Amino acid sequence: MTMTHIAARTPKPIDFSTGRQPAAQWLRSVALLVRSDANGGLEPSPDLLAAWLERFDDWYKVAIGCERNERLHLLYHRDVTVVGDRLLDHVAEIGMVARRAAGLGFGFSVTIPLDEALAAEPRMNELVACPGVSTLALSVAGDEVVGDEEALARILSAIVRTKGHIGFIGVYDRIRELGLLDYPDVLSTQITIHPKDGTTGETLPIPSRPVQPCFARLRVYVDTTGEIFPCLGLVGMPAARLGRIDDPIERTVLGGQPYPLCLDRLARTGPDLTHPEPAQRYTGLPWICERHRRELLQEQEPLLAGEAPAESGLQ
Amino acid sequence: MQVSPDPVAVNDAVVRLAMLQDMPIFYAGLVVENTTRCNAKCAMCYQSAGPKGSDTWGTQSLTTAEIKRVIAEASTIETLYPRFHLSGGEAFIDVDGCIELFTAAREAGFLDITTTTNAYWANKPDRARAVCERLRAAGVTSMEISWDYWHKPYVSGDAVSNCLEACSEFEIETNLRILCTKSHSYSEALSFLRPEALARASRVSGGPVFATGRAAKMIPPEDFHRQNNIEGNCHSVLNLTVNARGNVYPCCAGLDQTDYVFGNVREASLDAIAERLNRSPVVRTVVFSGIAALAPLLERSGIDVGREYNGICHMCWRIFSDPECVRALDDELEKATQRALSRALDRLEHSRIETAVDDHDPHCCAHAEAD
Repeated sequence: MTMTHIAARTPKPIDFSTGRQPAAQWLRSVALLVRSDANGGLEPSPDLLAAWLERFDDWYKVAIGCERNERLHLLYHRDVTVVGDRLLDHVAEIGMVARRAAGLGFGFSVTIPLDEALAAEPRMNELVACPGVSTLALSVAGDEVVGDEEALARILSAIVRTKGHIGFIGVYDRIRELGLLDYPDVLSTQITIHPKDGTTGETLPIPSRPVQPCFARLRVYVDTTGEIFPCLGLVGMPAARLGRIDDPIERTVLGGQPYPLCLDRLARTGPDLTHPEPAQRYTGLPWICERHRRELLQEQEPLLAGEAPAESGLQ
Repeated sequence: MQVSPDPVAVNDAVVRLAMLQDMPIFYAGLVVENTTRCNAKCAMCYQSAGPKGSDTWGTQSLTTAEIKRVIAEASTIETLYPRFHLSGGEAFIDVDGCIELFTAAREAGFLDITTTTNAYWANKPDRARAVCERLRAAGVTSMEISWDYWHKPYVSGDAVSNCLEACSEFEIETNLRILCTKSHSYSEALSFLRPEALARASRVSGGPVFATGRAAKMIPPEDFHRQNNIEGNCHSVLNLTVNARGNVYPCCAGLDQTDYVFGNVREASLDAIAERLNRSPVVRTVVFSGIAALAPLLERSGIDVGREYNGICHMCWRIFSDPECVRALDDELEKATQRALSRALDRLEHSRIETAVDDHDPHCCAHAEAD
C-alpha cells in the first residue's frame, strides 16, 4: 500500500495551540485507569490524580486560548471516566477526585459491576450521592446472582432519581434476563446500553476498509502507574507515552517535549498501516487500534534506540 | 437585620449571567433534515413525517446543491464541532444522494459523519452490506437507527438487525435509538430484534416519547411518562439544524418543527444566520437560562403555559408552536430591548454629565442644568 502521510520521523514537539481547531481539543477528556494497591489504597493516589487534573486543566485552558477569551466552546463536552476493579472500596477517594473534576467543569462517570453494587449497597449509595459524579453505569458480566431484587430496585431507583439517567454495559441477553430495563424507575428514564457480544477477540469481524480517523478515540489515559497516553490502544507502550502525572507539565509532551506520533493527523485521518490487509483479531479493541498498536510494538525497539522508526503514522 | 446572600447562590448567579452575556453558543454538529418524506408514518414521530411528507408542511426538501452550499458555509463556523449529521424524514429514500452529501461533508473537513435512518432499506442482508460498504467508503463514522414499537408496522425487526450487523462489519458505529411510553417499553422494542444483532450495536439509547408532533395527537396523554423537569437548560446539547424547508434552528429536538424562523438558508448564508442566533435574546435566554425562563415573560402577557411537561424540549416545542405565545414573546422582548436601550442612553447621558462636571466644562454643565 502506498503511504501518503509519512512525514519526518524524528520525534518533535506537538503544537497544541495553533489554528481554528487546535490539537489540544483531541485531549479534552480523561480516562483514569485505577486499581487497589497492596495497602488497600487507590493507585494512582487520589491526591496525585486530583492535583494532576488541575494542572492538566490549566494547560488545556491555556492551550485553547481561554485566558484570551478565545475558543471558549472547546470547554464543552469534557469528561473524566474512572475505570477499575473494586471501585466501591474507594468511594471517598473517588468522590474527592470527582468533586475536584466537577469544579473544573468536567463531567465524571463511573461504572460499577452489578454484583459489587449489590454486595455493598451502602457504599454504592454513597457513590450515587457524590455530587461530582454525573453519570453512573452498571456492568453486567453474565454470571451474577441477584438474590435481593428489592436491593437491586433500590440501587436502580437511587441512580435514576439522583442522576436522571442510567447506563448498562454487558451482554444484552443477561440485561434482559435480569429485567434491568423493566424496573419501575428505569422504565421511564433515559438509558444507555453498551452491549457486548460475549465472544472472544478471535471471532470479531475484520472490516474491509479499516483505516478511520481517531478523533473519537483520543483522550488522555492515565494508567495505574501514573503514565499518560493519548488513546487506549497505546496504553502501556513506552514509545507512545506522553509523560507522567507526577511530572511538571513542561516535562511532558503536553508541555513541549518531543513525541513520535502526530496526534492531529491521527485524529483527522487515522494511522498509516504497513499491513492493512485483514489479519487475525486478538483483542476487543477496534481493529484499527489493534493493528496500529501491533505495528508500533514491532517498531518500538529501534524507536527506543533512537533510530528512525518505520511507518505506522509516526512523524 | 441584614442577611448575607448565600455565596453559592451568588456564584451560580454570576456564572449564569456570564454565560448569558458572553458564552458563544456551541453546536455539537450540523444537522440537515433533507426531506419531510418518510416511508413510515409512525404514531410517535415528532416530525409528523410520512410518505406524503409532513402532516403540517407536506412535501418539503432541500436540493443536493443547496445542502452542499450549507455544508461549505458551515465549515467556516468556529463554534461548530466538525460533525455532519443527515436525517429526514427518511434521508435514505435517496441513498445515492446521501452518499454524495457524506462525501461532500468529508471533503469540506467534517470528521464525524453521521446519519439517522429507520433502516428499512436493509431488508436483505446483502443489500444492507452493500449500502454500508458504500457509506463507509464515503466516510460515514456513525449511524443512528430509529426503532421502537411504532416503527414496527413499517420496518421489520430483521431489517434493523441486518443494518446493525452490516454496520458492525464495516466498523460504522451504531446508536440504536429506542423510545418508550407507559404501554410500550424498551424491552418490548428490543424483543423484536435478533439478539446476535443487538450484541453488535455500539450503543442503545432510550428515552420517553415526548408529546410533540404526531405523538401529541396519536398517543393518549395518560400514556406519556411525565418527567416534570423543566428547570434545565440546553447549552451543551445543541446542533445547528437546517430543516427541509431551509429554516435554521439551534437544535433538532422539536424547535425545528415549529414555524418560528431564525433564518432560512435560501435567503442568507448559514454562517450569517449562526451569528444572528448567537446574538438573539430569545435563543440566548432559552439556551443558557432554560425554557422555563420564558414562562414569566408570557405570564406578563396573560398566558399561562403551565409546568407539566415531559421535559424542556416538550415545553420549548409547545411555546414556539403556539402563534399566540410567539407574538407575546416578541412583544415582551421588543419592550425589554426598548427598556434596555433607554437605560443605556440614560447611563450614557449621566456618565457624559459626570465627565463634564469632572472636567469643569461650564458649557456642558449649563446644558445639563437646562435639560
